[in-house]
Amino acid sequence: MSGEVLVTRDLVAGYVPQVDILNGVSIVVAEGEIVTVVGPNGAGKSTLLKALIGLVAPKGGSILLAGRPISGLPPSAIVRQGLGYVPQRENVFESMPIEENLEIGLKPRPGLGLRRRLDAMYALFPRLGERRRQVAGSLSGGERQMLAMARALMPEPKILLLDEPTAGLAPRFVDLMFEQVAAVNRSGVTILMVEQNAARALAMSHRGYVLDLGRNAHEGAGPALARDPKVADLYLGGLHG
Amino acid sequence: MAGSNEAGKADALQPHGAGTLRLSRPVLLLLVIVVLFAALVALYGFDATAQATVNGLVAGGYLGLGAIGLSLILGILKLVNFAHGDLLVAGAYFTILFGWLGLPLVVAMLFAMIATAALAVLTEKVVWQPLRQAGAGTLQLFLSAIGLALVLRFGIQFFAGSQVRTLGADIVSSITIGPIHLGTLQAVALVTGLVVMAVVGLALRFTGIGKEMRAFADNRALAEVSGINTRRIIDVTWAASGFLAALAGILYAVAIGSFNPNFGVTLLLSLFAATVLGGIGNAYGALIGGLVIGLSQEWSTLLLNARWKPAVGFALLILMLLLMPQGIFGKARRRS
Amino acid sequence: MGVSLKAGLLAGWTAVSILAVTATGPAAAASLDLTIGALLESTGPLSELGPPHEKATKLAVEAANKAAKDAGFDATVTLTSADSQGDPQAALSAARTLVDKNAACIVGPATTPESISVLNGITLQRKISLWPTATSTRLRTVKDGGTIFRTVPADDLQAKALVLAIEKHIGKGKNVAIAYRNEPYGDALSKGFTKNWEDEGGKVVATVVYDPQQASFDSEAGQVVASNADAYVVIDYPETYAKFGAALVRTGKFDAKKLFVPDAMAFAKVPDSIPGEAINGAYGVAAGAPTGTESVALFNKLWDEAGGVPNTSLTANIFDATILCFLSSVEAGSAEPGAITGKVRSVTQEGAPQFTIANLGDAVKAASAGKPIDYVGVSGAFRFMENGDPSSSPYDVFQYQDGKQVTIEQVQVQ
Repeated sequence: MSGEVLVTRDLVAGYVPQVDILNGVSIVVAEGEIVTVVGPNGAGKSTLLKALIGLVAPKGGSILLAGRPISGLPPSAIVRQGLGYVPQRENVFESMPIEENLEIGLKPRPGLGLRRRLDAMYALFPRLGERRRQVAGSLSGGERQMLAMARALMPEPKILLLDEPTAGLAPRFVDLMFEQVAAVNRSGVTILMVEQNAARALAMSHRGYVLDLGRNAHEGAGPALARDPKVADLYLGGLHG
Repeated sequence: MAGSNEAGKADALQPHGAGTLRLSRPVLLLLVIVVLFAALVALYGFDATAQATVNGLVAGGYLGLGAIGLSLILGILKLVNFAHGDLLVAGAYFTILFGWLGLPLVVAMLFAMIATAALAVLTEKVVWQPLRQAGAGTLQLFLSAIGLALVLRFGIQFFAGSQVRTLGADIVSSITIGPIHLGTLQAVALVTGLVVMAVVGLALRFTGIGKEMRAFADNRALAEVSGINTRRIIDVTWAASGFLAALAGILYAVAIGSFNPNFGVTLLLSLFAATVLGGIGNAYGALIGGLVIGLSQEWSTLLLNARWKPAVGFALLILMLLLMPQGIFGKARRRS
Repeated sequence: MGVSLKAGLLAGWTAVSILAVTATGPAAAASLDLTIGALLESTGPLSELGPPHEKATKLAVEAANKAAKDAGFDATVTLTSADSQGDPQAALSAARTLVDKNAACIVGPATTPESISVLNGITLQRKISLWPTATSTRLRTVKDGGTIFRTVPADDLQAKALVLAIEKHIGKGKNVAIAYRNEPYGDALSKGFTKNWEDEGGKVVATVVYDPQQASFDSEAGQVVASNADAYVVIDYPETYAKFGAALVRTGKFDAKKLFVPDAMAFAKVPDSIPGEAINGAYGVAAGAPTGTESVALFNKLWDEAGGVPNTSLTANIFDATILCFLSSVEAGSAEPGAITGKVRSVTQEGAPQFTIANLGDAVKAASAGKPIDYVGVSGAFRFMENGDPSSSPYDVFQYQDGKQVTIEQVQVQ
C-alpha cells in the first residue's frame, strides 16, 4: 500500500450534546484500498461517514484527508478537498436528468472539464450513458445507486464513501452492485464502505473494521475478518447462515 | 417538489413513467383556453371578448411577474414567504426614494431593484438563517413570515407615510389595435413579465447557478454533500426573489398609477394563487398561473357583474387544484 | 428648629385656606371643563379629508372658548383628536383613546363602517353622542339609543341632489350608467339614485360594481363606456378613482363632462394621483352651506384668517357638530356624556330664540340659564328627525375646472 488517504484518530461525534454515537474511532484507509466498516445496528457506521463528510460535527479526535485536517469544515469544503460521499437513500436529484445530476457533481471542481468527466463516467457506467437525458426519478434502484456513485466520482475524489450501497436492492442486483464497486476501485478510486451485507462486503475488501458501541472492536484483512468466527458470532450474527 | 422524496422512497426499486401526464397538462389548459375564447366570441362578439382577454393578460401579467419570486422561495427554500407582497411595495417605495434623491426614474427603478434584492438577502441573514439554525418548525417560520411582513409594511409606512403615492408616469396613454385598447404602460408591464419569465425559466434550466438552485430545491441534503455551496444558493435565491419582487412592484405601481404601502398585502393572496396554480418553484408556472387567474377574472366580467371578479379567480383556483393538485407545471406525484 | 417647623405649618395652613376660598368663592355658576373628541381620517383611504376636518374642529373649539369668555361663563373647551384611518378597527381604538382622555362627545368618523364600530364598541354604552360625517342611510337603522346625530344629510338626500344635477346639466329622462366601489356607501347611494332617477322617467343602462383591490379596472371601465350612456355616476373614493379613472380614460371613449360624483369625491384640489382627463369637467354634489348668510361669511373669514388648508365640503357641518356638542353641554350644565346627549334637541329647538356663530356668546348665556335655544349653524338650521338626521339640506353642485373644485350652484333637497 502507498500513502494513507484517510486517517481518523479517536473520533468522537454525536447528533445532540452529551450523547455520543462515536466514542473514539480510529481508522486508516490507504490509497487504492477498499475498506469496509461493519458492525451491529447502532454501532455508529453511518454516523462515522456523516462525521467524515461534515454532516455531523466531530466533538473530539481528528480527521486527516491526504494529511490535511478536515474536521469542522462544512461539507462543500470537504468535498472540494477530495472526499466523495454517497448517502444511503435519496442520493440522486430525482427531478433532474442523469446528465444534470453528474453536472452538479462536478460543481466543486469545474476545472476538470465536464465533457472529459462525463465520458469517464459513461465509460464506467454504460447504462447511464444510454439514458443520459432520462430523469433520475424514473430510474430503478440499482441505476440510482450507479448514478449516485457516478455523481460523487465526478470531481475525482481522493476517496469515495459509500453508505450501504446494496441496501434495499433486490438480491439479483446486489451482486451487480458489488461488481460495480469493485470496478470503480479498479479504476483507481479508494473506497470506504459501510455495509449491512457484511460477509459479501468484507470478502471483496482489502481491509475491514468492526465497530461496536461507537468504538473499534476488530480489524484485519477483509476476507480474514469475514471468516473469523469470533467476529461473526459476536457482531455479524447470521453471517454464514 | 415537496412530495417527490417520499414517492422516491416508496418505490425505489421500480422504474417510473412519470413524464406523459406532466407534458399534457399545459397543452390541455391551452386547449381549454382556446375553446373558452371561441365560446365567448360566439356569445359576446369578438371585440368585447378580445378586450376582456387583453385586460386579463394585463392583470394576470402583474400577478404572474410578482409570483415568480415567491415561487422561487417556496420551491427552493420551502418557505411560505408572507413578506413577499411587501417586497413588491419596497421596490415601489425605493424607487420613490431614489427619485427623491434626484435620480432619473429608470435609474431609480434599477437602484430600487438592487436595494430590494439586498433587503431580501438581509431578511435571510437577520431572520431566516438564525431561525433555521435554531431548528424552527413550519409553524414558527410561517408566523415569523407574517411578522416580518408587518414589520416591513409598517417600516415603509413609518418612513414614507400611508398616503397615496404615484411614480408620476403617464397612465392614461393607450395603444389602440383595432377594437382593443391597452394602456401603454400596461403593455410594457405585460411584455416585461413575459420576457422576465423566459429569462428566469431559461436561467434555471441552463445556467450553472440555475442548475444548482434546482438541485438544492430537489434535495437539499444531497446538494450539500455534493459539494454545492448551499449558503450561496440561498443568498442568490433571495436576491433573485427580491429583485423580481421589486420589478413586479414597480411595474404594477407604474401601470396602475397610484398606490399606498398596503398594495402588497392586497395582492399577496393572488400571488400565492398564481404560484400554486402554476406549480410551485416553476417560473413559467407562476406566470401562466397568474395569466389564468387574470383571464378567468376578466372573462367573468362578460358573464357576471364585475363585483364577483375576485371570487371567480379563487373559485377557479380551487377547481383547478382539484383537477391538477400539482398545478399546471408542477411535478406529477407518482403513485406508490 | 422649633421655629422653622412652626413657620412651615403656618405656611401650609395659609395655602389650604386660600385654596378653599378659591374653590367656593367666585365660581358660583358651575365651571365647565369639556373635552370634545375628534375622529379624523388623518391617514388611510380618506386621508384627503383629515386636514380640513381637523381645522374645522379646531376653529369650532376656538369659537366655543371665545363665546364662553364673552358670556362670562366659566368654561374650558379642549379638543382631543385621534386618527381613525378609514378602518373600523382603528376607528374603535382611536375612539377609546379619546374617551380615555375624557372626550364627552365625538365628532366624526367619516365612514359608516367606522361609525358602527365606534357606536357598538364604546359610545352607545357610555351614552356619548357621536357626530359622524358618514352619509349612509344605514346609520338610521342601527340601534344607537339616540346617541347618533348627523349635521350632514344622508345619502337619500344626496341621491336626489345627483338627480337634480344631472337633470340640469345633461337633461331629464336620459340614460345613465352607474359605477361604484363595492361598499355600503356606494351600494346605498346607487340604489337611492336609481330609484329617484327612474321615478323621474330616466333610465339606468348599466350598473358596474368593482372591488377596490383589483390589479386591473379596465374591464369595468370598458363596461361603463360601452353602455353609451348620456351621463356617468361614479361613486368612489379618490384613492380607487385614481386607478379607475385612469382606466376610464384609457378606453378612449370617456368624456369627463358626462361624469357626476358624490361627496366622497369632493376635494378642494384634485389629488395628483388622479389624471386630469379623468376628472376635469366632471360635476359633483356635496352637502353645502346656505350661501350669503352672515354665518357663512363669518365662517369663511375665520377659515381664511386661520391659514392652512383650503376649505372644502362638510367643514361647516363638522364645525356645527362641534358647536352643538358645546352648547348642549352648556345647556346641561355638565360635561357628562349622557347629559350632553340629552340636551341636543334643546339647543336646536324650533321656535326657541335663534342664535348663530355671530352671537354665540348670547347663545351661551341663554343656554347656561337653562333656556331652550335654536342654534342656526353655518350649514343651516337643524331639525333633527327621530333618527338623528336632518330633514333637509342644501347641496352644492360643483364642477372640476383645471384641477380645482368650483361651486356653480346650490340646490335645496328635502
